[in-house]
This record gives sequence, C-alpha cells and structure tokens, in this order.
Amino acid sequence: MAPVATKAKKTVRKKRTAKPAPMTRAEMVQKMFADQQFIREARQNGITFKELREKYGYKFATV
Amino acid sequence: MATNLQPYNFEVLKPDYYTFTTDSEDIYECYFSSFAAYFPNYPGVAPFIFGFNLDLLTKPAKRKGIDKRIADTVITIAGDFLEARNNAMVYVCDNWDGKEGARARKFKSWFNYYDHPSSKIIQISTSFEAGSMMIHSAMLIHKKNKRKKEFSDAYLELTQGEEK
Repeated sequence: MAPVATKAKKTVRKKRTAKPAPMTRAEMVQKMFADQQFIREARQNGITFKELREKYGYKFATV
Repeated sequence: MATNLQPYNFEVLKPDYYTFTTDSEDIYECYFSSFAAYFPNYPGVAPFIFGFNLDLLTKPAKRKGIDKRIADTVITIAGDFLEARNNAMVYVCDNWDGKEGARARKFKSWFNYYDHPSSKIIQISTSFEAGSMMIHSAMLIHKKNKRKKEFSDAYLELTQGEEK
C-alpha cells in the first residue's frame, strides 16, 4: 500500500508582543526619584496639579 | 528664631495640597504623590503609598536660627494625613545640592523629637544605593494602621531588597 502523505498541519504562529522586562529594583528607585524631581520642578515652574494629572499622568492623594 | 512652638496656620487647597507661610514670609507647599507604581509586588497596599513633598516656593529668606514651627507644621500635616490609618507616606530626600544627608537627619529628628502627633507614627529610615546614587528616604505609618507590616515589607523590599 502506497504511503499516504500526511497533510502538513497549518500552524498559525502567534505574533509575540514584546513584553517589557520588569524593572530592576535600582531602576524602580531611580524612576521614583526622577518622578519626584520632575514634579517638584514642574510645580516650581507653575505647572498645576491638574496638568500634572491630565498631561503627565501623575496621581496625587486627595487632601 | 520663633519661640512660639505652634504649627503655622496652613491652608488646605483641596483636592491637591497644603500651603503655609512662615514668619519670614517663606511660602511652602506640601502634597502627596502616588507611589503605587513603585510597589508592583504589593498590589494590596501599593495604591495607599504616597510620596511626601515639601517644597519652598519662594526664595529662602535670611533668618537667624532654625524655625522650629516649620517642623511642627509638617508633623501636623503628616499626622493628619496618616490619621486615616489606611495609608503610608514615603519621604525621599532631594539631592540636587548635595545636602540629602542633612535633610535625612533633619527629617528623622523632627519625627523623633516631638510628642504630638509623631508619637503615633512609626518611622523607618533607610539609606541605600541605587545605581550610582545614594538615596536617603523614610517611610511613615500610623502605629494603629492594620496593614503596617505589609507597608513596611513593601518599603524594605524596595529599599533594601536583593537585586533579582
């Protein structure tokens, strides 16, 4: 009996989305520090909290 | 030097910040920015961790001695904020002028010296290296905060944990 060619399975390769590598502890701390400085300087330059929230995505505690 | 050890009257400019003016006409503002993003391993408490900021908005006035009322005012504001007992605050010393060590010592002494309301507050102070920077910071939590262990674990992991 002649061998029957098996149909190659069509595989759809899943597109991998690049997942950002988790930040290291040092990177996280540096980001925290940089954010603090950015907010401080922005406030000194007259940027409002509303702008910091809406334009730059920072969040603040409600006082 | 101010002898009246009472906090300055501060204004609460809802919803964002506190402001007060000293006898030397220095204007300060205090606010609390979200630190949730820096504690991804602690999603339960991360949204309740805030960075404390104290900024001088005016050119510093020349004054004799130390104005202890500033400390008293900051402690009162921080105490009010922590009184809710569901949040924690982190103070990171600015290093732009190389005086971050002095800032850390001053902040630590404020919360060690005064009886009220700092007696209700736990302070965890740390100095650590991140990249090439030496960072001085402290976490403050109300003593009756039911999640104080989680808050302190999160903070210590960030500031003293091993690099993974």
